[in-house]
Amino acid sequence: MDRAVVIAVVAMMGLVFVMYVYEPADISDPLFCNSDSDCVPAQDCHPTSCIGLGSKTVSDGVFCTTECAPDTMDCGQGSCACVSNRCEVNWRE
Amino acid sequence: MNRISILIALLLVFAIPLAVSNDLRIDGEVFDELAQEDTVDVIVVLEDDASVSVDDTAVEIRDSDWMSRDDRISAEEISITEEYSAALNGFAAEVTEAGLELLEDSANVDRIYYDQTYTLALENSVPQVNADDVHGLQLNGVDLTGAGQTICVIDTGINYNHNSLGSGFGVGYKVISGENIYNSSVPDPLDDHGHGSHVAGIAAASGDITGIAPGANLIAMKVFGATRSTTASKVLAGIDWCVNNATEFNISVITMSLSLTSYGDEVIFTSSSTCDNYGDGGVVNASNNAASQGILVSAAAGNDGNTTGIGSPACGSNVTSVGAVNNADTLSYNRGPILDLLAPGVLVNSTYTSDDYVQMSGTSMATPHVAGAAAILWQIADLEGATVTAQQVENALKENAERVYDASSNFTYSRIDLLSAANFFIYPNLTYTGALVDGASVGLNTTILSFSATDISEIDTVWYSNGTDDFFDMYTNTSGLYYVDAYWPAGEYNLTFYANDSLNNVANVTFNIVISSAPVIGDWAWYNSTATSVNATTILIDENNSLSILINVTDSDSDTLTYNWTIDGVTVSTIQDLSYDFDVNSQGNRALLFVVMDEVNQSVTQSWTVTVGDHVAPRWNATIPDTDADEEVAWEYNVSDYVSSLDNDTLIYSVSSGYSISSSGTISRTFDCDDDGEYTVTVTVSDGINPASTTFSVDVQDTESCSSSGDDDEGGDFDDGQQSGGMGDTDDTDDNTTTTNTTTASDTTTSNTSTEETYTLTNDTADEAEEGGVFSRGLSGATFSGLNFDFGENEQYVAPSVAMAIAFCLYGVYHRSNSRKGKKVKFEISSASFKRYWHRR
Repeated sequence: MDRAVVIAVVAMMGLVFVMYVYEPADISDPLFCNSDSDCVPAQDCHPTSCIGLGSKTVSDGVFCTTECAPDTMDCGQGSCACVSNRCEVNWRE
Repeated sequence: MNRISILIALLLVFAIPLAVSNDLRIDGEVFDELAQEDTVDVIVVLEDDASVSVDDTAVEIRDSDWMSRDDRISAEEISITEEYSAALNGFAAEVTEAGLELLEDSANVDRIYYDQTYTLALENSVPQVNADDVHGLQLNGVDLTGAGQTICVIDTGINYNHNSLGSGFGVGYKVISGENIYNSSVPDPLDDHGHGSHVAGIAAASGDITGIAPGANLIAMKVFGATRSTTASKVLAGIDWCVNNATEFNISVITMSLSLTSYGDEVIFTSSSTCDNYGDGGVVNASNNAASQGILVSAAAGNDGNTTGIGSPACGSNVTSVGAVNNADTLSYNRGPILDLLAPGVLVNSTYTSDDYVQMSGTSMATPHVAGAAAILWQIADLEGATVTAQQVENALKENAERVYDASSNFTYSRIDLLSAANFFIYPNLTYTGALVDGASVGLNTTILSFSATDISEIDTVWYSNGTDDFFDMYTNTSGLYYVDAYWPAGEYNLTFYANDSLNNVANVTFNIVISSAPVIGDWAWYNSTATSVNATTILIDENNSLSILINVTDSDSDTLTYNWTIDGVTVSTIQDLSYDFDVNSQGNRALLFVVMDEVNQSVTQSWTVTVGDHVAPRWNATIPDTDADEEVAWEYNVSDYVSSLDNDTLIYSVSSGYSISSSGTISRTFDCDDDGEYTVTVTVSDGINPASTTFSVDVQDTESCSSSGDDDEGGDFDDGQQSGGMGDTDDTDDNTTTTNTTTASDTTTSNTSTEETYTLTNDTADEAEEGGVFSRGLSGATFSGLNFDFGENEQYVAPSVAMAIAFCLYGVYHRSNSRKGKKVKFEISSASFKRYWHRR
């Protein structure tokens, strides 16, 4: 076999391998983010999770009760952060 | 050992533990209640190894020792309600007196407690704001619990079935009305989450727990579901319902433990004006309008932990915003300059969904504390018949509060103190408006002791006592202040001022003052170099003299006195007795004033008129040089340079008759052609009081114009020098006496007079008289008008002098011969001394 053909086949196989093992970020994922500012609470009141700002439905002008509910991000118990391009709750101990 | 001894020993063995087990402690309240009632509820603690069993007829208490007896108590005497095994070994029971006696006798019973009734009063927060103290107060015979007031709770609804929330719904229950706005298809406003019930319990629970206003009614405005999120339209509907039904239910407070969010985060406002204009769906405006209609609207500040702003609608300008503190008054959650009040909001125990209680935190919990407090203040206002605004209620809470400083926002907030605020509403506000501090020493006048007296209703009377049993009304004027209408003698007064309102709620303020007596000026005496006088107010003294005044001042309070002496308004001394030197410029009338002041600025004065006389006369301080004048030529001679006035008086000149003298001291005269000769001029200067005179000579020379016009005077008559009065002495006699430079003054006279030792050269013919003038001119600059030689005792100088005179004469002859040939000059030398000298020689 021609040496050049061998090199081309190996290169193709390498490319196929790389494409196989590399999983690009899914920008259609509602949790996708590039920074903390891309993330907002998923619920309007007493939120327990976070979501990408682009995926949050319009939720302006909502009134919430003002107690510090357990296991929520109320009263600074947690905040939204971007970790590995995904919005997550950064819970405070 | 016989059988009897064994029996006794056994009895002792059993008797000792029996005696020990009888050491039983029983709460005193058990016997107290049995004295009133047939039964008492007790908690019985058994010995560790004892147990209890119950059957239909009796209660049996036994221990593990088979030898001990069982205690059996009839069911008629005891009824067990609870049995305990883990927390303690025992039971709770209702017992009769007989049953108690059996328990006392039981060796298996360790302790009997009285079953106390416990009321959970929001364990920490109600006493933290002193609400429990207010519940013990009455006004006009009514407990201050918020009774008659209604609080509208805009929230998740209210668990009105809770035994601390009235156990029912509708008029006659605590929750008198409500509406499910969140889900109108289900009219029942029952709380399906717990938040609204918790809030309602804090504001007005009455049962196992006691809220801030346990007598207040509640309205359940359900605008939230279990998710605890809602829209502006539903909140608005809740506010609207409360305002519309305010009159029917006497709704005086709306409480909203809610806050606006945007994308899950609270919307924070740092100014009320910005908040009022924010597009929040109208909730803030509706809240402001409700407050302006006499409803206090309390709203949660929010929980984001912001230190510069608060949420909405709490930020509204008429809304009472509420932040949260823990039981140590440490702030949590949102705060900022526009935050109105603080209240407990951390781990507050309150009613919940079932018939239970939970602890919750957040500004949601702080807000109903303020709502309940407002309800009680509205109740007080209603009982007093007063009309107050929501702003007045908020201000009462804000200004009668515990002040809490927060370092993170660098601001001091008001944490509500309901007892303080309630007292502010109940009692007249009597405030001292003067500048004195309590205990001050003053010189009294009526305007010093003034008070303002205000009340939410009307002030009836303001009066005071001065430490005795006597009371005196105070008077008022258009200023609205109240004044003491009396002057009091010096002394110490412990004053109490009172004010009452229409319900005769009396406020009092104590105020201690010391009325200080003013200093008193007694006798005085003044002295100068020539006079002494006692108690005279007119003083005569010459300038350049010293005045002393000794004055007696007393002060019965022994205050430290300050003194001030002024002359014509200028301070000259600050000690009690005066010693003052009037200088040479002091003449005239002087106003002398003495002011003495005590420690409280009470002063007394004494004044004098001091007439200071002119004392220093002007003086001629140099001899006026003699001078010449020409006939028919205006002659002027200024003498002002030779006179002085130490006290800078204006000097007045006068001069011998025939002469004129100006105000500036210039003497003038025009001598006639026949006035040649020597004149003595006397000039006098005066300061208006003291004159001083001096003289000088003026030698009037014959002039050529007078000679050619046939002047018939004797010309060159050198012995004509004594012409007192100034006019020329026209006789030709030899006076042989010339007086020059005679100075006289009131205190000094100087005279230089020569007679025998004066030698006069004369030309004694008519021609010679003419020649004399020529001779004078011929001397060319020597300007001799006469030669006077006064040798005195120095005769040895006579010969040389005569020789010199002759030499001068010969020199004149020589010149004359050169100019006018043929003329002869005759000189006559006459002098006794010269002759004696000549003959001796």
